Amino acid sequence: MNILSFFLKKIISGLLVVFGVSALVFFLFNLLPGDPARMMLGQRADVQSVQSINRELGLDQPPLKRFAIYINDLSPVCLLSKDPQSFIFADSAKYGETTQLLSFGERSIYIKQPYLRRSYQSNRLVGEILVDSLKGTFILSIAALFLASFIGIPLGVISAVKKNKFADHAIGMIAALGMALPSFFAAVIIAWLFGFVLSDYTGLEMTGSLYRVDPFFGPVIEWKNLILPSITLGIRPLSVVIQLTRSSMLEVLSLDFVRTAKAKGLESRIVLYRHALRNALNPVLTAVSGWFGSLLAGAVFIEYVFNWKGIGKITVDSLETYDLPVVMGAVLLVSCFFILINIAVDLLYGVLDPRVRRSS
Amino acid sequence: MAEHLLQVDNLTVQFGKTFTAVDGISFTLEKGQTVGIVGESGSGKSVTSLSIMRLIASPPGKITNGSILYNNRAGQKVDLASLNEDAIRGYRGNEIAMIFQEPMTSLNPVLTCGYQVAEALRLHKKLNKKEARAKTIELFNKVKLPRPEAIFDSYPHEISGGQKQRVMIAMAISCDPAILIADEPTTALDVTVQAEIIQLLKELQQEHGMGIIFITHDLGVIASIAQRVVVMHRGKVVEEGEVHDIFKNPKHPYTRGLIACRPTLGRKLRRLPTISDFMSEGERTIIAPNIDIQNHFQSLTISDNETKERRNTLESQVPLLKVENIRNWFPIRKGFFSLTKDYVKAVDDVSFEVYPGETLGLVGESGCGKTTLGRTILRLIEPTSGKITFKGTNINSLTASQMRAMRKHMQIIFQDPYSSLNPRMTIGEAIMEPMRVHKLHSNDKTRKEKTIDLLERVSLKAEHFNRYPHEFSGGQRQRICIARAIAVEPEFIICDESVSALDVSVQAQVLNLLNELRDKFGFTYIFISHDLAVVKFMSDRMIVMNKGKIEEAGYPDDIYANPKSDYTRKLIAAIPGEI
Repeated sequence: MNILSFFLKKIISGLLVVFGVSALVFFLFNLLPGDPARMMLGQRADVQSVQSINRELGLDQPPLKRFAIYINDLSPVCLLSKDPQSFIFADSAKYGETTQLLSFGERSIYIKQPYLRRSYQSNRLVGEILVDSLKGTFILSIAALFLASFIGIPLGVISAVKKNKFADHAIGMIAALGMALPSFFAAVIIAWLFGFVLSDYTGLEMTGSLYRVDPFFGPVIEWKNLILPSITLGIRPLSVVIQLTRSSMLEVLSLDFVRTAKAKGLESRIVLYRHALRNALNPVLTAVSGWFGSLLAGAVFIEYVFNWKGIGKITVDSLETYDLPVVMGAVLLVSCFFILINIAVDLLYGVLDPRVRRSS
Repeated sequence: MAEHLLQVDNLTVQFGKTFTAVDGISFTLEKGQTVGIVGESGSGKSVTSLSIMRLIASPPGKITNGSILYNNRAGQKVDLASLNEDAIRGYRGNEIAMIFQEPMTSLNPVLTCGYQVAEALRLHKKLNKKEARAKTIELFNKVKLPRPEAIFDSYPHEISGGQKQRVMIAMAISCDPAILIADEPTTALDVTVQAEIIQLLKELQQEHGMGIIFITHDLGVIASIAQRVVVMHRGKVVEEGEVHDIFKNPKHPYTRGLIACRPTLGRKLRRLPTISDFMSEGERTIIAPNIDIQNHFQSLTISDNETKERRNTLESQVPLLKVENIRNWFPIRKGFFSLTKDYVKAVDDVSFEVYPGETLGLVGESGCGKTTLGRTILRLIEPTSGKITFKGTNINSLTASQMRAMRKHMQIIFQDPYSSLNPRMTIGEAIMEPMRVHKLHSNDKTRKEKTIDLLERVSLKAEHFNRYPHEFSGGQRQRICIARAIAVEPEFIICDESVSALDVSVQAQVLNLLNELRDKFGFTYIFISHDLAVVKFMSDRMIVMNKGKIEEAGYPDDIYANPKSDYTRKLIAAIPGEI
């Protein structure tokens, strides 16, 4: 099977999953008890205002109709109407720029960006809110995993090669410690130690986001704020990567083809990196990608402790205020990420291991 | 004394402090000569070969004594045993090369075949990428790989086992080595492929004048390639000499046993001779009654009358198993939506009958459908079409729970005794489990007694009950698998390549055991194997399978004496070294 049809298959099944998740998210949050209108207006709001808010948000419609409109809002290819009274009126304030594809009189098929609606609380576009906070989470996760892989894989290899020697035991200790340390505890300790006690030497602060809003120049990127949270977030993946690399490397090193490579007269360094490591990386890749997905879902504790603006923090904040569009948008976004990452990993497996290309 | 190409002198290799794997062995190898090292697993033959390459895992392995003198290309004598790691690396793959037993796992799955061969050339011959590619393709032509250009860019999983071994050979001869060490290079291959590989090695030796050290557990293979043979037993050389002399006049009782225990096509024996017929071992001493091989064979031969009588009694009965027009076609899905279908016809329209108490042999090469057929009969795989009648019941129509009850009567013994036992279960538990499943015997106490009885029946001991599989050798494990299969008192057992993973000497014991059990309990066997000689020894009737179809069926003697199909003739011709 060629790589393109493999890819297409994955995309199609991915889209189906997205649809399933959208449905789940919609019914979960819309059939839950709770009244967004009351949350917006406060406990002492009069019935009329609540009704008008409900009408404005379309919350007085039957659930299936609301779901259909929701999906229509999400889908890049959608049906919009020219009638301003319709729920699917082609309102540029909602949908932004649209491109008309086909027209059936009153209604037409358009291409647009997915519309995730507006926050009940701030009335900002949910898309904008998510993109803002996603940047933070994304950079934090990448940094943490970068740290975990680029330190963890070599440490795991060393550990395997020096099996049962001092280096192996020392690395094993580090890994065990990292596994055992709860992230909220590690976060507090690290923030306090390096951001407060030693802050004169490190020049770091306890809390801070990627962007600092400067009174004169607007938002400024503060890379140094990334250091502490990414280290904290990377500790556990690092330990997992070390342990997985070690065990998988030990297994591969005992295989016949490693002996063949040695019998060829290759240097042990080449045997190790060219012949063994590539075979040993598959389980590590699975673990790292899994972590990446869950990190994107928000490292809630760490974002909280370091006051790092990210998806996790936004989701929890909006759950507290019953800001449904933001919560739904965040959940959808994260599930899309999981799907994308899985596709990327499948493709990567194929690059690393030619046998996967065939059998799938 | 002439200069030897390689002179191993008093070599001793120890693992840890206590275990001596190779105990003071000496032998020599000349240019253009093939020396066979023969012995069963654990005899130290592989450790010897790996020591020459200095590839033994260290620690725990260590060369503690002796020398390995090698006359190198520059005409100097070097002691390989005392070289440092950097120096030995210059010889590995360059002047001394090695091919291994398992072509399936000896190539790196993530690198192309061509790359792996070219790698050695670029390392030792300092060729650039383009030159190395050209040279590799030339080598692929030399080892007779089809479409060398395509195979250069293929990954190991895309080519067959025989082709992989050819790639390994191309890799080994790439730098024109003076010595080629072949460690059981054909054991994992079909007989016809084995014959081709041996032929190829001979041709390459003539062309390049390499000295070959050929390691095997099978004396028959030695006969067809080597000039000299070294027989190893428990880390020591028990006999050494010209192949012809050793076969003609083996001096050591172990060698006699090894020669005699191979099933051969020419003889019809009641039971196979085993090493223990020729010698019994104490802690240190070997007690050997002086038995002549030919006389021994004579005493074990079955007469034609006896065979005829047995056939008549067997075939006068109602068949126990009837297989009618079994087909097993596996769809291959292609295309974007997996819509286009094609079929692999693993088993295609096969019919036969098996009588109670009979052994039906099923022989064929890998991929011929014999294993699929065996599993279909047990309904481990559902057939595409056809009918299987066992004890008068059409088993394809049974429900899952009826089938479970039926399984008590039909058992299977698999090929690999290493992976077919759960490593976390004691062997006692493993044997008792099927009894529990089928609610045999009233309680665990009687089951345990029964298990110990079974262990003794397969020549194991009661004290083995609480041990784990890793504490046993391959042959012992296969006995455990046999004990587990007969624990539910079945009538019908499928032996699927049950002795293929075993040494010839152990194979003889297990085959004899199977026959004893059959005579005692009246089992009926379907005996599946790729080895024609083994099938002929075991079977009352046999079937030759090829590409999912029955190529030929009949009495083993008739098929051997008068093969009707070309395929059968090819199989018989490929059997190495009739002794």
